[in-house]
Amino acid sequence: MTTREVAYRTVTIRPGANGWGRGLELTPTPERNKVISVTGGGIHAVAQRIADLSGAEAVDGFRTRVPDEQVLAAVINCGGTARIGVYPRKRIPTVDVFPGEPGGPLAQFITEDIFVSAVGPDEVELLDGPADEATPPAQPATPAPAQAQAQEEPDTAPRGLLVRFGGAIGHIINTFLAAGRQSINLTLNTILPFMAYVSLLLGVVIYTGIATAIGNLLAPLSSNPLGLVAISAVVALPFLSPILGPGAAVAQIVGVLMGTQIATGALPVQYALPTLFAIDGQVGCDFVPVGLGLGEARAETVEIGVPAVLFSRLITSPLAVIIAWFASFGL
Amino acid sequence: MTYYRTTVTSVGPEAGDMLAGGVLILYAEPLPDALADVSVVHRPDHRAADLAIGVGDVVSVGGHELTVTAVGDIAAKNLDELGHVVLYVDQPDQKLLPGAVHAAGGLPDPQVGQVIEFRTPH
Repeated sequence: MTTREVAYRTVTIRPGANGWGRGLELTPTPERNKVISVTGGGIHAVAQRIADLSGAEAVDGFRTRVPDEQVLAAVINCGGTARIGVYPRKRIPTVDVFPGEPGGPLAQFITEDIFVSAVGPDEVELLDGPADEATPPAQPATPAPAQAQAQEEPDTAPRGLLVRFGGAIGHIINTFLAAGRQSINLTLNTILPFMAYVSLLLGVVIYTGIATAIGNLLAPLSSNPLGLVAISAVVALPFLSPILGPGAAVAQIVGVLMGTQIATGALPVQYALPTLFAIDGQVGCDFVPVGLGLGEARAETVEIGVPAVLFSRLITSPLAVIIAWFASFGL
Repeated sequence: MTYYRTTVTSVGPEAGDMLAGGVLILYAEPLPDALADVSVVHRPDHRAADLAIGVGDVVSVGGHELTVTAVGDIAAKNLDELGHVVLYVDQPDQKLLPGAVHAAGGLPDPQVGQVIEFRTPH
């Protein structure tokens, strides 16, 4: 086995004294093979060491523009606010040569799986252990041609079935693991806060009785088509719909009332369909910000998207009632 | 005496969010895009040989003056090497990070073309 077949090798980076994190394992790929040194004053020894051992290329992040998707890792010497958060936020593995720890406005992004600190050159080692270490240092002398060959060779060189099988299994497991991690993150960061928020909203709505009061207020309107349009407009008012959504008090009160009226024959059955649309204009309005969050919308999108949806409800909700009213003629 | 004077060349799209949280991140050109997004980027016109930032110094952002209340261990080195300073404005309770400079005097509103100055009080 020549060294070129394994031009890219996995390095482990552990936290140094007083460092934070549990350590990182990095393996370059032909696409992701740059270690950017965002330290100022050229390429930091730690970045160079990671590059030398793994077969990746070290570049000065301040002088050379490297697209994010090519970055294997960012080496920083951060004072605790900006660089320490910017790269973890982009999910770029980040190696701080100072003993930094999560802090500052981007603290939430600085997690153990992506960040390690107080790293010196001694904390960077090959995963296979130092026994093989003698071979790679020959490469950096002529980085460019070696790189080019290194990228070509792995494709053509025959690789053992076992190695490929192992690689495939590793890929599958990693994918599942990442999926699990994302699910937990989503649950923790989006779904649980949403449940807490709805519980609070529901508590306020039930305690104050506001939704029930509005429902009772609107109920008399439901006996004629125009009243139904009015109900749909009121429940879809942008400042009311988010409070009327959880608990569905209006839908219950008006719905039950209409149901009994229709059942006793006091109102024709044609009222059922328009009523359904009239009392449900608010449905989901409390969920809009969370829905956008689940779709990983940016803050600006949420800021504009929430009022956009709420106001559009004010238009579509009465329209839906009218359409439903026409549609119910044949019933 | 003004020991560092620089002109704002761009304000990152997320610099405003940072500032709203009381954090102003300065970086001199050139710098990676990832950092430019959250930073107020500038090009220095004047810098004294000694860039030691001291408590009581004045940081003027487009005429809006802030008074330095605390200086992290590597803040001066960052300013010297990268034109990089993280100003925590009006946040006395925030733990002093090594690269941070704490200052009081209200949030500035940095705009492209404005001059930022660091000067000693007298």
